Amino acid sequence: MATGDVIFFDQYLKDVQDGVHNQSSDTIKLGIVTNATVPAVTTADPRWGAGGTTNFSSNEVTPGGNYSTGGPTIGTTAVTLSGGAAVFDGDDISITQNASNPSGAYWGIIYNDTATGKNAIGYVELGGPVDLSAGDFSIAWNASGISSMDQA
Amino acid sequence: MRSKSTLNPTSAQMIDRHVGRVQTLSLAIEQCKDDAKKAAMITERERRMNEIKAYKATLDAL
Repeated sequence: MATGDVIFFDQYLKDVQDGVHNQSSDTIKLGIVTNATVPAVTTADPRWGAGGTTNFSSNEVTPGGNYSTGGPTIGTTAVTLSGGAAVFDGDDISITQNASNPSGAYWGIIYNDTATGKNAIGYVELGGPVDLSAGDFSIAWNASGISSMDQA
Repeated sequence: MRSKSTLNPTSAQMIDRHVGRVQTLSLAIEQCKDDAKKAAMITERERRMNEIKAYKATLDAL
């Protein structure tokens, strides 16, 4: 993995077909965690909270400053269909510097805050440890969108 | 399934993202049935287009 890589959990591929996610209307968030549990594509039933097998919220960085518990929301999300591909996209993430922002950030966990089980969707490698109190921090999603599913 | 994001991008690195986001937003606006959400998307698209224009003006001034 490299810094900036966005990987989707295997579990997400099943959850999306089981109707767990409506990414055009659900609130999708990015929770930031330490390196205590390293996410992997095969992480068992990942969640932001209890109810599954792997609870990433237990390793959340200490909220403070411009980082609130649960992490920022990925705004204006939508799933669009174009040329046989379903593209999921949303606003970029921006956390302004503040002396009380958390440090020790390693991963961003993308999760569905509307879903009853707070099912996790994927994760972003942040190139940690990142100290969010040292400067502004932002994530610009891929120019083609956060994810794309097609017929291939 | 995976994609590649950019952490702490420069203005130059943001241009591709702005253009791509304007394209996905334009499609989303066409397909969106929620008026409030559509309005938010239009605002975000406008913001991105202004960023592109500002960067273009910077290049033109060189």
